[in-house]
Amino acid sequence: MTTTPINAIEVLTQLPSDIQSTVLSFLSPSDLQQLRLSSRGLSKLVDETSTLWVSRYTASYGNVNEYIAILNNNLGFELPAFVPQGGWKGAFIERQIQQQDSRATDLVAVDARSALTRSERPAGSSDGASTSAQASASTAATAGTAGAAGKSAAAEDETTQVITLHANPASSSMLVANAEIAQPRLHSRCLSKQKGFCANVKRTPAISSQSSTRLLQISCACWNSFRNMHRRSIFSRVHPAMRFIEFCEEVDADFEPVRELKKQVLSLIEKQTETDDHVALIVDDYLSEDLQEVLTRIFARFDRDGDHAWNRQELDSFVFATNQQHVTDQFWRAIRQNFTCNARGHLLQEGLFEFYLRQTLDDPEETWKDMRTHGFDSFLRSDETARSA
Amino acid sequence: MSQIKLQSSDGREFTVDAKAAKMSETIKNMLEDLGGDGENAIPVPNVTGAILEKVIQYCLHHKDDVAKPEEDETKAKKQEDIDSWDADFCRVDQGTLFEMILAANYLDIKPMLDLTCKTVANMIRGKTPDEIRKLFNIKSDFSPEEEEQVKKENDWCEEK
Repeated sequence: MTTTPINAIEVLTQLPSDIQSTVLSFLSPSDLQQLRLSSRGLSKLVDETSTLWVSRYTASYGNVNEYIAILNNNLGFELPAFVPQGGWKGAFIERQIQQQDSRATDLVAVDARSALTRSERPAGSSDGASTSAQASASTAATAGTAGAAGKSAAAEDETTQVITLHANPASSSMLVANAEIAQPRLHSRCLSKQKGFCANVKRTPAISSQSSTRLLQISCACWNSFRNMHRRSIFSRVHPAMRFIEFCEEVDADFEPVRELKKQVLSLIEKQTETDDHVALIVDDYLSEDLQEVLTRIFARFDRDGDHAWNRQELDSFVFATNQQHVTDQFWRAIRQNFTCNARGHLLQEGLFEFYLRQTLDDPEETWKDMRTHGFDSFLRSDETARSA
Repeated sequence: MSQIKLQSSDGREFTVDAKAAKMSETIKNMLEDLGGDGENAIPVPNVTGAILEKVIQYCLHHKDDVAKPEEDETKAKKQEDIDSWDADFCRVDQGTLFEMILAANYLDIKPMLDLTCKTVANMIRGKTPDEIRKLFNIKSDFSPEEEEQVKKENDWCEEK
């Protein structure tokens, strides 16, 4: 073992930055601060490891950019990626202070407030005015009426904007796009926007067409996430469709359309989890109903003369279609010996089932290969059905 | 091919179980690229024999581990979950530990990199600046004003 004395600090500060970031990511903020206080080099190290602050921020306040990506990809928004003005470290610290200041207040309201006011006010200023702004924003968010706004002249601007946010989903999405993008935590901001649209659909059917459009978009995004996901990573615990649902739920868990959507999504996910990314070939030691159905169709397809049995010619055309080989005398004998045939020695559908049971138990992949050859996908849907689905 | 040979920067040769060696993405890729026949030793130019021995020790112990699901990025990393074998494995002097980090990084062995980084973090955790200086054998190089400034920025670290 080498015991060459080394300058640990030199090594630590010269490590590749992703390693530094990994080391630091295991430390709590107070440990980081102690580290900063111990030397100039270490202070610099902590301050300048930007990936550390990105992951810190993300871990504490959610991955803003992930939400932006979801919105952009699925709901037709065009939001730029979020990069905090003061750098990630600055944004993280700001959030910390902000949270300490406003722990007791309704979080969504605080976010709405900070979103709308922080561009004008220094962060963390907990003076009387902003407290009352908080209070009124909170009231406004709950009540959502212009009356509540009128009560607080001091916070008129903010409140009016909060009201706008809640009163008009179309303009609220603009607000998200324009004003709020400069602020951290888009997540809850989007939520408050969604809250607006949910509340709207409930209260005023007359102006709900925009909201319905949004809801429709969310629904479509959910279904698309199923269609686009041929092979779901076993590691991703949250189904993409559920992200949208969670998104809406955090806003208004009692909103009926969202609850309905969730029910449907959950049942689909359950179905999908059972079968992973394909249907079962074997159930209870016998061919699954899906496979039986497909084999029945294949049997009928090649039963040219319609006598419910395959003569050698019919079997031959099936075998040739399957693997470009012709039935030999030996193969034909083996089939007739091992699988159920009728009195004339022609293979019955039952016999085809037996053949596929044996093959599938032996090597399911071989059966999948055959199914694909005959135009069935991993859900044993034929190509035509899959295309029209 | 169940055994492969690795050669350290100082020319030492190690015969290793292939599955263990393939915990290193770097070696795995080299094997795929070279289509290694098991005859020629694979050079590991950035790692000395002493450190490579440690790396191999780690890989042999962990080769049959079940791949962990990707860490949930939104959750803070767990800090205390080092098992006793791993803790013993990392009970080495600082110089060796840092070399192990670099080797794990170069060889791209993610769990070993995490373990060694976590070990360094654990050395720092809960210590005062004085203790940290002692740990790393350094002196404070702050001017009084600078130190004051850094202290001022203390607010944010108060954990909730």
